[in-house]
Amino acid sequence: MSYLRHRVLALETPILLSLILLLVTFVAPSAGLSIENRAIVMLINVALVVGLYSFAGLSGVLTFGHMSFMGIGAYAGALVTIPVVAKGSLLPDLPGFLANAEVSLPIAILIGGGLAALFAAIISLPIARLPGLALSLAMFAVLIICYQVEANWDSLTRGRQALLGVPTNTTIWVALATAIGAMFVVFAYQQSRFGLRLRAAREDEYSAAATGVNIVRERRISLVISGALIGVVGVVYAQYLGVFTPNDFYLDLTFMTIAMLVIGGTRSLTGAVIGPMLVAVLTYTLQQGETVTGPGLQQVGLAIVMVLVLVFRPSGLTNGKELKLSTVVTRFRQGRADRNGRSSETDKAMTAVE
Amino acid sequence: MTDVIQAVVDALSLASLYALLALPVALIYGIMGLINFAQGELTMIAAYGLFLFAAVTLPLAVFMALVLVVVAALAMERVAFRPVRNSSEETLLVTSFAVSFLLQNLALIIFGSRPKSISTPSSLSQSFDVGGIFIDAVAILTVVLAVVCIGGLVLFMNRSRFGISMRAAAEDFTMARLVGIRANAVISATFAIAGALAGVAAFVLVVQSGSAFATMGLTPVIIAFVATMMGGLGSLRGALLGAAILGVITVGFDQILSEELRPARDAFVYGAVLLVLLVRPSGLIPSNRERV
Repeated sequence: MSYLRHRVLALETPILLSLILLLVTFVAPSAGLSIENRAIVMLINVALVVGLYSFAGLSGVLTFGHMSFMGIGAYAGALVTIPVVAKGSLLPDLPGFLANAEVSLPIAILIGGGLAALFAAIISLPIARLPGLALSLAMFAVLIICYQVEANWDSLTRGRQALLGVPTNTTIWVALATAIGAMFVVFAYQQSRFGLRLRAAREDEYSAAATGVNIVRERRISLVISGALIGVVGVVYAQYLGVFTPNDFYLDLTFMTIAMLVIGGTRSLTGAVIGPMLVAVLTYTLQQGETVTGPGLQQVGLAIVMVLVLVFRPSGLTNGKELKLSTVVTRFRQGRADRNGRSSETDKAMTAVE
Repeated sequence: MTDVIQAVVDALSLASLYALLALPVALIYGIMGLINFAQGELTMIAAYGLFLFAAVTLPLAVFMALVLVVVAALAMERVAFRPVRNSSEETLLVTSFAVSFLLQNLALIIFGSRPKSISTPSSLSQSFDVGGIFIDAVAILTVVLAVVCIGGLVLFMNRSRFGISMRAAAEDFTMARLVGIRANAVISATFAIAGALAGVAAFVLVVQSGSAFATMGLTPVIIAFVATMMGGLGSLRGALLGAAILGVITVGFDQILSEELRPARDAFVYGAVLLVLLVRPSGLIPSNRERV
């Protein structure tokens, strides 16, 4: 019994966050189709930002290029799911094995995620060796390279023209499953020895290296994991849109996801989940104002909020803390703030109280 | 033979433009550890300044654009970057990213998404035929402006009292403050210089393309990043070297790539830069700078 309780408590944060997302999934469709679509996009964003967090948050190096994995996943997933007949007229110059491929969504997810992970593994060879700031900028160069390739490889991607005819398999439940799956994978990674080593290097590069952490190796692992996750989200997102262009995985999305992560807080999984939810509400509000100002207000407002967060609360709204019922309970029982965020410590405190 | 000379001429003018773009980024990074995404938006602001005053006379437009962009640079530092000055380099970078996005979308709201065309004197758009080699007036202008700006900057940094303060601040900010160098003044001056250089670069870009638009700052700032990164973050000489190499390989890929691949030229250029970084992760001229 206590063993089971311990296991559940260890997974408390992702379970609580999943319950919140589940609630959204239950409630949103009853508020009409437009709200349901917003909820789907929000759930996809949660999965996306959680994927971004698995590198940017855990390593402490914000990257400007992770959306390249999303583009790779989206195009790979779309090319193997568009019906063979449609492909014949859309993309007549497609190589044979792609022209005749038509697989289900789960297989497409495996292919898209796998390809993005492979790409991440290849680029990690030079990228993971770079010092922090140069790494951010080099990833930006990777994003531009991917965009250029997608926008010009006409026979494979239709270039700047929209790729259409992608089956729209992504329901709100698929989006929910993606978000929850991403959260559990990243939480497991975060608590594993790999995640711990990466986080140690984030806190203090020199001390971590001195205790035997191979930072380059840990960053490489993290790049591949985040690449795979974001690739999967790319597949799912493409199957939601049905029609997309290379621009959908470029600068606007890069900015939006970074804003979500920064506003939520780069240093906890909870931040990566809360951020997209807050931004969804914020952009919805700002969009109502755009009828007056014309397009752009949404982005301006979001940028201002982001600068304010960076100035007044640089670690984001969650400030590096995870959502935990046990913390709340202990805090309540002890009648004072428990500043300790480590789950094992809190567990001990719980037992001691009992 | 003329092909080779033509390519050299092209590379020289491109490298000059890239140097104008890379210098302010390297300068600000050297002083306060900020990689400024919004540098591109300074170029955009200067270009819109040219657009607003181009109807009067060109010299006035250039002057007003320069004033406007320097004021914008100073305001940007005061409002957005001073409050986060002591944060990590990551935070600074993300802040500048937000500022850049903010300004871009403000421009979109104010000026709309269509490019605004700016007419420049026809004498600037002609091109000279020197023994089979075509030299654009813009190319000459770019090289001259780059030489004047770089020369002026070198003189300023080495000879003037203020320039020496700036170098001291770049070397060791805390120590410089301890010996009485005013931090705010130094950083403001750096931003003013960066603004002025953005104005010069904007002039060249506007003469080249004849228009101003909200997202025009993006390509320049990416080039500036790649050049400074390849040269070695925090080193001015590195930034110049990076800009020169970037200009040369860009022209080089233009020559060797086939017709179909040429639209994706930048992909090849940045790929080549990543390969350079594979061998030298800290750039060609690494600086051992410790930021405070």
